[in-house]
Amino acid sequence: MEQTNKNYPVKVTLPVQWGEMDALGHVNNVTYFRYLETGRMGVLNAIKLYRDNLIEGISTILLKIDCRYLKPVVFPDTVHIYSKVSKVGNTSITIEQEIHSDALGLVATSESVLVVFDYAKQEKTAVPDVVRETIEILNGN
Amino acid sequence: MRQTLTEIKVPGFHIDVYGHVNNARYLEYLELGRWDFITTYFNRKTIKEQQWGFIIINIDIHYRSPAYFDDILIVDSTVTNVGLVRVSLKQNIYCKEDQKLLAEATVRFVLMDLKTLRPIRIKGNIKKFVETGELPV
Repeated sequence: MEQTNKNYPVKVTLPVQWGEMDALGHVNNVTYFRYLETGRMGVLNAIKLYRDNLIEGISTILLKIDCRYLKPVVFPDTVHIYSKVSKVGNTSITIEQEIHSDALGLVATSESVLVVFDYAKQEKTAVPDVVRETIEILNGN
Repeated sequence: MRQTLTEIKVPGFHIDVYGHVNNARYLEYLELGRWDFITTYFNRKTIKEQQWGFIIINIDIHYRSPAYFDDILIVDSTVTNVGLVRVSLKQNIYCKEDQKLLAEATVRFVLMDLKTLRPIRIKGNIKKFVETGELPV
């Protein structure tokens, strides 16, 4: 994971795999969601919500995600997933993401909402203060 | 209304570290539902001859409930709107056993001319093709 700029503080870079292309000769639409997932994991790791650095068993569960496809990615290429926490609610966080490729520039945008979830109690829970503080620092505030 | 109901049995390798179906797998289930819809309602020979492709421009998915290993899922796919360029497809994923809604998605796509890589305007015979699956002679 690479720290980038204030607007999108988390950047993850991935090589495009040949096998990610489908019959139309471009990277299949589902793969974009996998790129976004990998980017989200970079954010969750940075704000202490990834499953390996859980705070009292608290992590997240994906509530919704949308993806706007702007350009078709083709092998060989490298994609960069830029991510930021754009909103912190009582029990949820919103992540905005952009996927850029070396060859094409901006290729997709996305917004996702993650509910903070207590896996022991199997219920949503408040965003921990330490997570809020970490997001503030990550966002440069 | 044109609709397909696609049945999928969840295999073990679709389960992630949280013990449920990984979020991106739902997108694959939607993809299977769309292929079922296309092969059910569209003349594939025409698509190949005309060098057209259905290209997705946006997917919006809301996750309602987790799916688990061995669940039998139903992907319900229905066209909800045919615009001048864009087509909207509503896709819901249910658990077959209790009919519980697991996810609902809206998928927007265009019919692309693969020779020019430009979206085709959906009017006249093209509209008839999108609506009926056959190109008028």
